[in-house]
Amino acid sequence: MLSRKLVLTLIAIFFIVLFFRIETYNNWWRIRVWDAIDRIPTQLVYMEPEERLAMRFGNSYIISKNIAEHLKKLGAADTAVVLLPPKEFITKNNVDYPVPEPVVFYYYTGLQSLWTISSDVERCNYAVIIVEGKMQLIPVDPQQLQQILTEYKKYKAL
Amino acid sequence: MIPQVAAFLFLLLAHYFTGKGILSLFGIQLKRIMHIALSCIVGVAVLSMIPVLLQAFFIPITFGSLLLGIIIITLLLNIRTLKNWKKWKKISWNLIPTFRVYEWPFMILFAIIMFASIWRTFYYPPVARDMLSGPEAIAEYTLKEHTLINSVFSVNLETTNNQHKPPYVLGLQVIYKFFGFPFGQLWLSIISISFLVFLYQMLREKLHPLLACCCMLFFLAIPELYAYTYIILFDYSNMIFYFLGFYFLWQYFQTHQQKEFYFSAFLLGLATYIRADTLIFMGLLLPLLLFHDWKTGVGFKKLAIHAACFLGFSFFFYFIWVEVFLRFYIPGFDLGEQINPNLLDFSPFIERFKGVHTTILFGKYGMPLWAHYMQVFLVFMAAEIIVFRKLSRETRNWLYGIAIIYVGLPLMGYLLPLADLNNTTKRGFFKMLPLMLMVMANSELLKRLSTLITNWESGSTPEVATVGKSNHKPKSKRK
Repeated sequence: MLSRKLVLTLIAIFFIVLFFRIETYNNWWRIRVWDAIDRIPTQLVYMEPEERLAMRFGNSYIISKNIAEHLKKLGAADTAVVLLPPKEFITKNNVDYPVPEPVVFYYYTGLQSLWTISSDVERCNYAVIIVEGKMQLIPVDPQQLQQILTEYKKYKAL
Repeated sequence: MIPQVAAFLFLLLAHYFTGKGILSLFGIQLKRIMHIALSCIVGVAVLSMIPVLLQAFFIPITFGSLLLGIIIITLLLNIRTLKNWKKWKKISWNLIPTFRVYEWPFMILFAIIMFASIWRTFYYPPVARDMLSGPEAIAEYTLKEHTLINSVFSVNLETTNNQHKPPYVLGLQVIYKFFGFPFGQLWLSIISISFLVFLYQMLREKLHPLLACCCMLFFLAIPELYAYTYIILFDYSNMIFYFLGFYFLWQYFQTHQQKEFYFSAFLLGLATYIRADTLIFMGLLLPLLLFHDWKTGVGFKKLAIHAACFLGFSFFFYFIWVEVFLRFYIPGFDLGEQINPNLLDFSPFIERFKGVHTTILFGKYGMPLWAHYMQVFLVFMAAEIIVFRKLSRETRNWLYGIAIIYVGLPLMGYLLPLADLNNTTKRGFFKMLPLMLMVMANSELLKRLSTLITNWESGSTPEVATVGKSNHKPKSKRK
């Protein structure tokens, strides 16, 4: 009986090898399973929640946090409502900032923000703009806001 | 790290004992390993309600109030167990299941696959947009503001309706964050591993362990489904409860034990609690119950009670969330806005039904999403119909569950336009996958192969050895 069990064990191993010879499952194993395990030693170096958030969300998180830090330094974090640029505008200017939606921006930073399509966009008193390929955060008055909105509304927000 | 491990063990035990208490209330008895797995699954869903209960009674959500809530609920559900404390001595504490030698290569492989999933769940923050713009954001600010109705609702929420999603994920995220896990999420590993254990035991009851392992690997390696063992959303959990509800309904059809019927209704109620749109599937599931009851000679009065109970749990959870909590506690909810205003136009249904085939199940996304799962299922079905020319009663039941999803999801897309094809509909198909696995496990092809291997392994003649449970046919009272 033991020999038959051993034969079945060999069949089990053979099945597993054969299964992962199939391209679809081989790719799945490499990308989804093995790659995740392979990254663990590196990830163990970065265990702080902030580092893990930055790793996961990249520039979307890092730049949003930079905006928040800047406003905190100005002492305007409590009153600031930031106008976020449209995604299409950002892409066209080759800036690597996947713009989060206002609620996600709030999750990242604790700051209020709006998109150009938001119904209460007039509340914005800060705006993210791009000057010579670089992002800047500037305070805006209602008149400046309208000028920026006129430009931004040419682009798709989502 | 040590406080986190202690917190995790506490929560794991709390889930287990809560679920065990529920199972004991319903009088559900199962094999030990299945009982443990099912207890953990049910316990996760039940404890997720605590933050909402605290909010409903205007109690600030803090670590202390959550801890007290968990302890009280766990104790309340286990009063009967506590009363019989003398029986504890008789309990066997040998919890580790034994495997045959040829199962070990698979078990090691499954452990590696699930380890990768657990690590991702632990390490990374929630990534799904539906979470970040809803439950995760609300949970994060609950940690700071001690209320579910927090400053997230002061943000412009015009681009999302995720703040109105059922409180299942929100509740669990709140609990796990308060217990020291910055990104919560580990409850997903508990529920997914428990489910896989339960499913494997089901397969093992029907097939030779070697075949059960092969089927399990085939199921585990569905790329899209595996991804949701570490990406928190509603659909994986919804799949689990829909499947388990269906399983216990089938058990009821076999044994005619009322406790299994009520437990099935309860589990399907939890599925509705996780995704309110499960109510649509409940409506489609009802004819199966009615047909069974009618066929087995159940009187009209009992049939009506069954129908009411079957839908009652689901309506209860739906009503509590949608009609009470959303209406009176959460700002800015209007269900009417989410329903298709032009129900006489059926073209969205036809479009969605077409899209399901050309895009999701077999189109360009078919292979990356499901690998070869759909094709192999169709091969098994073809073999059953063309070669063996019969479908067992159990297979027909599982097929009914599949048909509900197959038709119900396009129907949902027609009723609720926000349920889009590439997200809601796609993930809704998760509910079909374990049902399809059960169809394959019940196929004549695998059954015969299973008998063959069992006979060969034991060296017995084909007539002597049998595999799995025999199909018990209920005796019809109607003549």
